[in-house]
Amino acid sequence: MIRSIGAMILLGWQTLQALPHAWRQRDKVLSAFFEIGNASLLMSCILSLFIGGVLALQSGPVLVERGLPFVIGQLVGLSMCKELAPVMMSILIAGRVGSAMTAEIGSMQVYQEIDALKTMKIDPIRYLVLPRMIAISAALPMLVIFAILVGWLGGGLVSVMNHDIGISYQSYMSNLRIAVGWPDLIHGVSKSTIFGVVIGLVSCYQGMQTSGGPRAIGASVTQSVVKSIVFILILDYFVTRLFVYFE
Amino acid sequence: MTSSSNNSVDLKVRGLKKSYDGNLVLKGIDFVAEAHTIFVIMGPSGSGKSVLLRHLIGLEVPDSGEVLMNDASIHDPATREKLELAIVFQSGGLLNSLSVGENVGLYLKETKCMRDTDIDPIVNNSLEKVGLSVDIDKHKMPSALSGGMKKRVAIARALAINPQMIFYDEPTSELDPLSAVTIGKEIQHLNQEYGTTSIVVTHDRDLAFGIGHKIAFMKNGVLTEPRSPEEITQHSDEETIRFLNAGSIQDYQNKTQ
Repeated sequence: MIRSIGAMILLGWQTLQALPHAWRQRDKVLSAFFEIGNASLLMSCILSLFIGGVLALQSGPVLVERGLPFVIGQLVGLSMCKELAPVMMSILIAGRVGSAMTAEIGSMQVYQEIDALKTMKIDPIRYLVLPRMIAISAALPMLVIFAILVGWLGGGLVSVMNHDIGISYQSYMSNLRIAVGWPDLIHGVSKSTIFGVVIGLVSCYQGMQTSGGPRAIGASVTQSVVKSIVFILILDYFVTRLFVYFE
Repeated sequence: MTSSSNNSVDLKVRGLKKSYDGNLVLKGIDFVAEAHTIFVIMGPSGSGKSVLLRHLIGLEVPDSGEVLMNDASIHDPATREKLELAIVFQSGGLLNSLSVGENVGLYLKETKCMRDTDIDPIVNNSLEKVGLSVDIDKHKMPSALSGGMKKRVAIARALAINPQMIFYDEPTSELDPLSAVTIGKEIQHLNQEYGTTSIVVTHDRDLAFGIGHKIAFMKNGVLTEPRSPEEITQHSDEETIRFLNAGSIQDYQNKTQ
């Protein structure tokens, strides 16, 4: 495990060194970017709508009962923004996009496509890893912003439509706006950028490490998703600590 | 595409050893392949031929020994940068996400940073040389090609590099006899036309004897002394002779009776 982490950090460093070649790979970056969007936009919409809804549903009646209905907007707003949207979207992307990245690079490794690149003096990091890393690091924060907005909407809908809560949408949104500021949004988006880099690194690394036959591709995909989720959850704690420290 | 005959390189391998998990796969390989020749490494499956090939092209680093091309180590990045090498993998090694034309022009686009307008004529020329249609086959995806066509595209890709040395890994495996003959002729034609040094790894006796200038036999990680096709049948040991003579229907019937 320690060796894998070291190798992933090294891969990250090599990818950084390849950054000057990013412009030449712009077509692949754009294609990966739109692929990520296509693969996950609808899923993230549904997921965040219901997460926001459930948050309001769970907390709303209790808060109303204790005379704190104005807290619902604040609670949903901050939870979605700082924690749930970045973490849940990252887990979704790890499963949906990271696994596909690992499978694609893994099959290229197994079927000697990466060897072919090397013999043509084409650096696989520049050609395969760099575009995917840029795409996922840019796409995930955008998806998270979208998920935050949809999550707020989901919480608002439940707050309005549920009889045990029954507050107005205006009241919900105005309370949300009071609690949530730009720093909170930056908090969530920064987290998701870090998670995007982690997912990209883990997925590409696992793909590049694949050796054997088709069964090895399956094993790499599983490892990629599991490792990504574990790293996201562990990192989430430390990044949150860091943000709390600076707040 | 310019001829590479003047740039053809020779290959020297000295004391090459490699083990995986304590299992010695290459047990000290020594041989010389002269420039402009077709050197065939022959042997049964699992004898270490493909592992040797990966070392020759620099994809693997040996435990000891060296691979020299024009007296420079293939594991020296400067040598790799200077030389134009190409490999035709057993499976073709085509990038499945790219069309045939994009595969053939990949080296020119990514490594040589050439413009599409300059790449196109070279790609067309390479495809025509291996008997593929520029109008139809160029736009196909590798998944739509037969095994023989994939190998031809891989050869066309190698040609677009204008290589000084081409490596072929089992070029006729998984092919019907007619396609195998076509590929064999193609390898021979490229060597004759451009003088490109060719290293062919195969267990196909017909191909080895049909195109090889020198043939070396590999068994259990050891390579025998390279000989001409005429010499090899006269001077080989019993096991090599048995491998070379095995496989005829008569032989099969004798064994099963």
